Formats: sequence, C-alpha cells, structure tokens
Amino acid sequence: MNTRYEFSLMQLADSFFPYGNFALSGGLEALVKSERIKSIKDIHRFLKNQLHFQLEPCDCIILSLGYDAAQKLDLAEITNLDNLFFSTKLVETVRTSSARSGLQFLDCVITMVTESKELANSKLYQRSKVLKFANMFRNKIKNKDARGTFPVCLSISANILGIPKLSTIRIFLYTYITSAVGAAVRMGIIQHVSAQSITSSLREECESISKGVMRKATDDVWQSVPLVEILQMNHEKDDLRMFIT
Amino acid sequence: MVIPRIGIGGPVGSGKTRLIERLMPILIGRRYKGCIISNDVISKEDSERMRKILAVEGKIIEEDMIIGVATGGCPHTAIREDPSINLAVIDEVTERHPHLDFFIIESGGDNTMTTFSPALADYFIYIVDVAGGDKYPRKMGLGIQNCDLLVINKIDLAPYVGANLSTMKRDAARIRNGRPFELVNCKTGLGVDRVAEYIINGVLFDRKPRERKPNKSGNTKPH
Repeated sequence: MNTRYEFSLMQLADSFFPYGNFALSGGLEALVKSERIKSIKDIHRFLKNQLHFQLEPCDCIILSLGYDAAQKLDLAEITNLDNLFFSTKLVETVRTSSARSGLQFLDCVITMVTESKELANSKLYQRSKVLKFANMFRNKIKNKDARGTFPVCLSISANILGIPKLSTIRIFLYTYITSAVGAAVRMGIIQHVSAQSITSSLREECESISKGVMRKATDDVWQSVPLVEILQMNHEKDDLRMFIT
Repeated sequence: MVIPRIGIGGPVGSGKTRLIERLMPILIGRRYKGCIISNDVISKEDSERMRKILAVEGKIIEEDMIIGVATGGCPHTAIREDPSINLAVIDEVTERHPHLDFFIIESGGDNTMTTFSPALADYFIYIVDVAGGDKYPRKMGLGIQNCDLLVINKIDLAPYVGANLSTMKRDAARIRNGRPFELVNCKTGLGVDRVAEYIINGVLFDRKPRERKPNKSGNTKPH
C-alpha cells in the first residue's frame, strides 16, 4: 500500500486544509432560510439531489477530465475545462468562490511541495513535471486566460502529490458533504453525531458516483438544480447570512 | 511591493467598526489610500455602515474599497487557521489597485483569543471596551497579550459601569510588558489620532503616501 499518497489524501480531505471551505454551505443555507430544509431527512435528500444533479454530472466529470489533462500536461485542455466549469455555474458567488478556493488550494499545494525536501526527493511524486505544469496554469490565471476553479485546481494538485484519480474524486465528494453538514451543524439544524451519520450514509452513493464518472467526456457534462440556484441567487443579496454560498 | 495589512480584532460591540470609521479620515487626510475588508459573522451591517459613512456620505473612499466577507460563522477561522478567502480578496484588490498604501482587515466579533495569521496581517490591533468590565486586560488571552497595539475603548462609560480606568491601565501595562496600549473614546474620536500614529510609525514605517495626481474623472491615481 502506498502510504505516502494516503497521507496526502487525508491532508487534502481534511477541513483543516486552508482554502476557505468553512465559509461555504454548498447551497444549504439558502434552502434553510427559505424553510425548505428543517430536518435530518431534508438534509439527506438535499445532499443526494446535489450529488446526482450537480456534482456527478458536472463537477466530478470536470474533475476527472482535469485529472487526465494534468497527467498529459495538456494546458489547453485543462484551460478549456476550467472555463467550462466557470461558465456552467449560473450563480455568481458559486463561480467566484470556486475560483477563489481553487486558487488558494493550488497555491498551498505548490508551496507545500516546493518547500518540502521529502517531497522533492521522492520518486513517488511527479513533482517536477506537474509542478511546472501547475505554475504554467497559474500564469494562465494571472493573464486572465483561466479562472482556477476548484475541481480543476484539485485535479492538478492531486497529480502533483501522486493521488490516484478515483481517490481524488472521493476527496471532492467528501469535502463537499462535510462542508454542507458542517454548515448544518453551525446553523443548529442537526447535532454533531447526526452530521457523521449523514456523511457515513452517503458512502455508497459517493463510491458509485466516483467510479461512474471515471470515463465520462465533456459532452456528458450537465447539471440541473434550478430551485437551489434561484435560492442561491437570492441568498447572495441577502443582508443576513453566515455563508458565502 | 506588498501592501501593508492592518488587522483589527476584538469582541462584539467593542468598537472595531467605529475605530475604522475614525481612523480612515485621519489616514486619508495624511494622503494614505487604503481598502477595508470587513469580515461579517452573520450580517452585512458593519460593511454597509462603513460604506454609508465613509463612501456615500463622507466621500473619502470609493464604495468598492469597502468589502464584506462572509465567514461561515467562524470569525477566528477566517483570520487565523484559514485566511484564504481574505487573502484571495486582497490579491484581487491588489491586482486592480496596486498602488494602495494599506489594507485594514476587520475581524468578526470574537473572543479574547483572537489573533491574526501572520500571512494575513502585518500589524494587529486588538480592541476591548470598558463596558466589558475593568477585568478585561488582566483576563489576558492571546489577543490582549500578543497584539501590536491594545486599544481600550469607551472610556467615557467607565463611571457608569463601575470600571476603574487606573486598574485597567495598571493591568494593561503589566500584561503588555512594555508593548503599547491606548485608551480611547471612538465615539468622540479622543485618542484615535494616537492610534493612527502607531499605524503610520509601526506598519507604514513613516513612508510617504504614494504620489498621485488627479485623472480626468477627478479620482486620484499614482504617477
């Protein structure tokens, strides 16, 4: 077993990893404020819908394709995927917060790898090639040719650290779920143990989605969560809110 | 060049926003140009109030130079463990306005353990108020102990809340171990000019404001 990548996997999936995830509720706050979510059952249903109508057909496919593009060091393809993700998201705060988080995430990984002697000397990490690629992508963002959305930056980061694609998709789904249930706890809708039960109950769902999106193409990208998006658009203009989105 | 960043933290109602409202006219009067990032715990009230007082009514700062950031109910996380959202906003503003002289980052109201990540703030002001009791300084906490400048606000309220200012001064001097503290009344502005001097000396290093000349629209831009 490759314990080196497992450590990196845990590090990236941890809520302590700094990219602003704590300030996002994944759309949950908007639904709570509109009184469409009041119970554990509602949260569970909301997450399942988000997984199947947004994350699976859109975010995870772009993440999967981004991973392949980073592996092939295909800068044009990863830029296209980044712009596709950005243009697919209709809610402004969802687009901008994804780009802010993505960029901070990638910068943290680049710094972490650059400063780590152990990582630099390890043959397990495709450090030099992908790191150079990551810096080229950073320049694209600086020149406004790319946005640095979260799924794309995660796919590049995982490549730098040698985390397999399937595990990278699992990280993405896990961090989305923990962000949303964490928000539910802070909003006082559920208690801490229920949050863990909800997360755990979605394990098989996440596993099936992770394996299912591995071979999808850009033509397969879609999403349909109109109610959540409309409520999120109202939420971003709301005077009272805890979360960015 | 990196634009200096001043972090202002303190409990809810201690006067963080009012301090900024008092500081900005002094700093702008000295021709320094800055941007305010206000971390909101739940409402946009602080950033909206500053926008109204400083931009709409005061006209001393552009409206887009006061930015509210939602913190997911975790004000300390947003400025300490994970300042990435604040850093992202600073990067974006710096790209648009590379010739700013300073950023002020206002924390959401928090407890006495508030500190700023060194990656986020170069200079840290922690503000408490006498209405919380004269025990505040001696109760310590990282914010009170480690900040670059401790500000004790609302000194006019001391007789009404039974707070002894001499006790607060004595305890602050002991706890701060030689580091500065100031007693102020942000409502009247008393003592705020001294806070501004600490900022100018301590983080702007007495550097002259960047030279600017008016452009066609009447705004000022650097040469």
